[in-house]
Amino acid sequence: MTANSDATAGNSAADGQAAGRREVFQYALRRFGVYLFTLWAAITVAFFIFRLVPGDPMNILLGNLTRAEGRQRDAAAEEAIIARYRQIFGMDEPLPLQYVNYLRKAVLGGLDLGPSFVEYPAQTKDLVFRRMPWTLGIFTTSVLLAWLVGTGLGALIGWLQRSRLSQLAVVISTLLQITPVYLVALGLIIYIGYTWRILPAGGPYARHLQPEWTWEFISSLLTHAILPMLSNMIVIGAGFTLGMRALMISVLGEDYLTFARAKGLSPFTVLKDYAFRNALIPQVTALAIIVGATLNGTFIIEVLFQLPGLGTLFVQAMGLRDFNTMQAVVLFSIFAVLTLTLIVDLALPLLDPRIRRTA
Amino acid sequence: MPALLEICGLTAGLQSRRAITPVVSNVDLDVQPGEILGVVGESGCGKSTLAAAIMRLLVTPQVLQSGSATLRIDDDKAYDLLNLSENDLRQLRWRHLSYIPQGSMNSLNPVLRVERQMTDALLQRGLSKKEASDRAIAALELVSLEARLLDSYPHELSGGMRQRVIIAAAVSMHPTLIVADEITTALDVVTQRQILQELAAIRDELGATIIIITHDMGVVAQIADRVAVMYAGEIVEVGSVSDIFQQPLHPYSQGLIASIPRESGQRVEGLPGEAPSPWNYPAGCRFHPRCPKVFGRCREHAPASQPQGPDRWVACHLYDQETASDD
Amino acid sequence: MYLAKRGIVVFVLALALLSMLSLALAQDEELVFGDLPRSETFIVASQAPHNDVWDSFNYYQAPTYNNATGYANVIVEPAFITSHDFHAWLAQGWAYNEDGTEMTLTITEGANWNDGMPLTMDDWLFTLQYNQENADKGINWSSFLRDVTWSAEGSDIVFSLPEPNWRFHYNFTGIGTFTPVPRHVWEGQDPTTFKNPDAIHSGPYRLVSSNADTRTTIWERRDDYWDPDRMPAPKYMVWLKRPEADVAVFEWEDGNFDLGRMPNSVMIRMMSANPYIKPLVHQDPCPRGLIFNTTVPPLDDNLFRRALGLLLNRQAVANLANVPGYVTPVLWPNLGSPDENYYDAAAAEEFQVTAFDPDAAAALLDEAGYPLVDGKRVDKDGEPISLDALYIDIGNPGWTVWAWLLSEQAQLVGIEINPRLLDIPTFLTQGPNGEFDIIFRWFCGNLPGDPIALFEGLHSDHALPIGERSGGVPGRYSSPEMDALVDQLRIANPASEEAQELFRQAYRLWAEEAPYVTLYGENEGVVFNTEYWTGLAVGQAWVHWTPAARQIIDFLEPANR
Repeated sequence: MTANSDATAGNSAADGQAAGRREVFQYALRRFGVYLFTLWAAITVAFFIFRLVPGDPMNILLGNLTRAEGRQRDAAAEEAIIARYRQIFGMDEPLPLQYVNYLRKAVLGGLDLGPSFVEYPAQTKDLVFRRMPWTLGIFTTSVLLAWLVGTGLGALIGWLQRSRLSQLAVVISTLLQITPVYLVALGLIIYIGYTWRILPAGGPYARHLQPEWTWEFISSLLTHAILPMLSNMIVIGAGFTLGMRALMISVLGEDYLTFARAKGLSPFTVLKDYAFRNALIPQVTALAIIVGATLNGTFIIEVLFQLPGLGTLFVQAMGLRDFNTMQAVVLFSIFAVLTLTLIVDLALPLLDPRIRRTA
Repeated sequence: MPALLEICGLTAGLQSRRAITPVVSNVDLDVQPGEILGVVGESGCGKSTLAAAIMRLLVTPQVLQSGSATLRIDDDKAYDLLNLSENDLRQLRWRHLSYIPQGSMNSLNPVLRVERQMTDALLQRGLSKKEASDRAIAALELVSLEARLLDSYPHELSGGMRQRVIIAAAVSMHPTLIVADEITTALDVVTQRQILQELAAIRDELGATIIIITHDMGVVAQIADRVAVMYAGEIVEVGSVSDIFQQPLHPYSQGLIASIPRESGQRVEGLPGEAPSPWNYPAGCRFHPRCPKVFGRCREHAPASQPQGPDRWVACHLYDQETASDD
Repeated sequence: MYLAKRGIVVFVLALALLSMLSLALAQDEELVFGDLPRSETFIVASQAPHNDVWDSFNYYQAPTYNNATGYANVIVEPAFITSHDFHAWLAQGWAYNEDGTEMTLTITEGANWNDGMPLTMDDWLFTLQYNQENADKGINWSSFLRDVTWSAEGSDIVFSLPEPNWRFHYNFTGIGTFTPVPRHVWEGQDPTTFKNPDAIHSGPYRLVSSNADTRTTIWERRDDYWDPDRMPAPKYMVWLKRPEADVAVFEWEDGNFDLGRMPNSVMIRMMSANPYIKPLVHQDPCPRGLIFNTTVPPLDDNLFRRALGLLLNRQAVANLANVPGYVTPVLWPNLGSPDENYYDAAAAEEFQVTAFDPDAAAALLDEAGYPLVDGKRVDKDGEPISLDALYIDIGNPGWTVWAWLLSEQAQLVGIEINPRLLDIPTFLTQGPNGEFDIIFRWFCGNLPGDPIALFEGLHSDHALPIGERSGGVPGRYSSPEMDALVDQLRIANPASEEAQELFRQAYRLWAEEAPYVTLYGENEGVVFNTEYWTGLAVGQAWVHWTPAARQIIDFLEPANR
């Protein structure tokens, strides 16, 4: 009655640890390399793509100015203005050189991404730093909340898959998931914001306030954030709910669930330790994937709710062909998405021991 | 001595939108205390469905249609497993009714440590952490595993170790009845033999009663006291191991025994054809299309199960005349 | 088991409801402007599609000049306001010497800045010098001072011009023109970076706050404004960037805005929801027209161009443009009513400059050698003619329907014209770069003043290669006759008999050559909420996104409802 051939697990733990640490280090290094490469690729693509779009910022600037003044300027005045802004924006050089200069300044110049047109003469970097908290605040909070609610709700719906309430929830989630964010947001604005007047439906906070640590300001900030976040949450959350439900149902068919039931565990324990926990792992991966896919929805929401985030900034920059700002928004969006994805990726081994050992 | 488990008219099937297709039809079976009963049959004959039905572990679209399975414990307490409330059944599980699934499948949760999976059921039955842990260690010893495995995750264990952990978990509460479903499938022959020996030892040490479900006549020969042969959802023959192996009555049992590989290595003729699926069980005797001894009546009338000597039943028209003349 | 499941559901739902409710209750104030009394506040809902600069009030920066904070409207004051009526403002008048080499500007005495400091000749002289010194930095309102010298005598500034220039005063009378800045603020500052953070100018308001997050700028009236007769009625001016039109409709219906632009499509709805909402209609001083690219055959042929002009059903454009009177056909390609002295009626008649006459167009095409072959007009090489017509959609129906009407009419005479919708940035680039066949455009002569800009833009100076930005009429038109006329017009005194004769000749040449054609004069609509303020009337110069809005502030009267 010996089991010598089987009793090998954990024997080589000490050797494994050193090798494992090396592997983890290599993995991290590779991961970071991919991270940098993605950033570089994104900014390079953005740099050239934006310049391929028809529309010259100088023409737009002068066109707007001429309309504002209701007259043609004399040619010399126009030339002087164009020459000056071309120089400021580094557009007086050939395109490859512009690109090299841009990268050089961005890397060596301490993230000097050039001046902006949108909020001239503000530096693009400052602009993005000022706007990013709005986007990240709305975005990460709503995605995380949507994930939490969607995961909980999806687990519940999957667990009670045959109940009528659950089937109704599936229908509703499916409808919400295919509804464009724009429509959901507009619906919330019209009904909750204006028809029933429950919550404010535009702006980051009440117009007469200035940012300060007072209850009035904070409550205004929070109430103004509800509808935009809700718009995002409804659509993303519906997706998470359906995803979690599907995962739950597939986990419910697993053998270890049958075994757990055979053990006579309470239904709650079976749900918590066997079904939910296992369905959670792919659901966390889904979070990482969704993070990137839903940022554009947040941009639309910002425009509709007049939030001073990266989305509104991008729309304005696009209207002016403000390349520096457009590039910076792309750069920081990719950066934010990559970082959030990385965090989720790093969190995954905490949940899944199979990854923990092999990574 | 009354049977420990008395299965009566158990019928279970697959629910589709329109109808239920029976997979297990009208099974009657007694299990005596302390014995090892082997339920044997080809893949798809419904033996796993039978096990799941007894364990009340059928999952959609499997449904139980009718029947009873009376479990008698200690001093004449009897529970009908098939009609007990979910809550009451839960009280019986693990303490009186244990289940050993096939270990090569994902019967262990990949994200929980072995210890958690071995002790969670114990803790819910009121054991302290210490007691639960001790019991888990003791159970592991029964299957020759070391206590430190408690810290492992399932994916760190070999197939044989996983099967042993599952056995250990299932016997940790010293259950009265154990249903073991295909526990040796996908294991190498050496490990298979070890595990069967361990299981037999557990029966001896704990006095448990075991129903072992297998497609392998060899396994039955090694470990079982009594055999129930199943074909196409029905029990076709029941008898002691020696009776069945020495003198199989049903042509199907004969075929099964004939197809066991001998040590001489010569290939013996197997059963021709394939077992029918539940959607096209033949009329009359379900075995008749493959039966070498088929005759007229087999094609029209399903044979009833009839006793053939002490503790011996067979369902085959070949033996009808005898009973008819006896009558 | 079921009890447990239901319990979880109820718990989650209750939690969600509770959190919603508590947050909803926390919001107990109305969504207006805190302690600003609504009846004393005038709220402009600006669209400001371009820049988003909220912390800079630098008058010299091209990108920040056209902003949504209202500073150019409530604090920047020009020397003269001339957009509708003539008003002496920071200056009283001007005069030229006999040969147009000197201009005397008389400034207004006793003005002051909105920080209380007096606005003196010293500030004027400082600003002139400051602008001239910084001209090479490409700042606004500096290049006209190149080679100009000046001296001050009492309230007069005498400008000595390097060559005769009878139009020097236009630099003080336009909509966006030269205006003095306070010396004590700007001295030593770099005009390319200074933000003028306290928004010091001479207008009747002071900056209270400007918030880039909420896009709201609040101005408060000052009691020490230098001209008590022109003290505006609203105590507070709020300029804000309005939401997308879909959402802004509700703000209007709630009466949260007083003045602003909205798409025509929602006007009727808003007016029925809020009876105080009135549309104000005002004819834009710049008529709309079409430019032909004269380097693209057959558009290089003036007969072909005139034929296209005859295919423009201007009245149909006006009718199709939804709101009655929203667009009107125009005869003279500048301003509302033609000034006889600059206009050759006989030429207009002869060349049918505003006529819609497809038969005449067909006859002209036959005559010019573009025959119909298999139902299609072919060019000189025998190829069927196909042209693109570029247009943009900014919500004004006239801007889009012309292209389709032209396409339809052209098809009837056998010419293929494909309307192509552009986004605004592309339009603003492809136009000046000459990358088009036919393009929509507005034509401002010289506002205010003589119509030289209409012909100046046709000088071959502006006929740059395709792809280079042209500051003139970007159709790359050039002809020695037009060049000769424009050269003379540039130095002529527009008020002189001689100049008027030149204008009439230029007009005839334009009518015959048709490098561009007129389309219609546009009546732009603005939404005015009369619940709190009245006094604005149809036809006034209310163009709120230009500095002329300084004037409309004075028209406002409290509604006292």
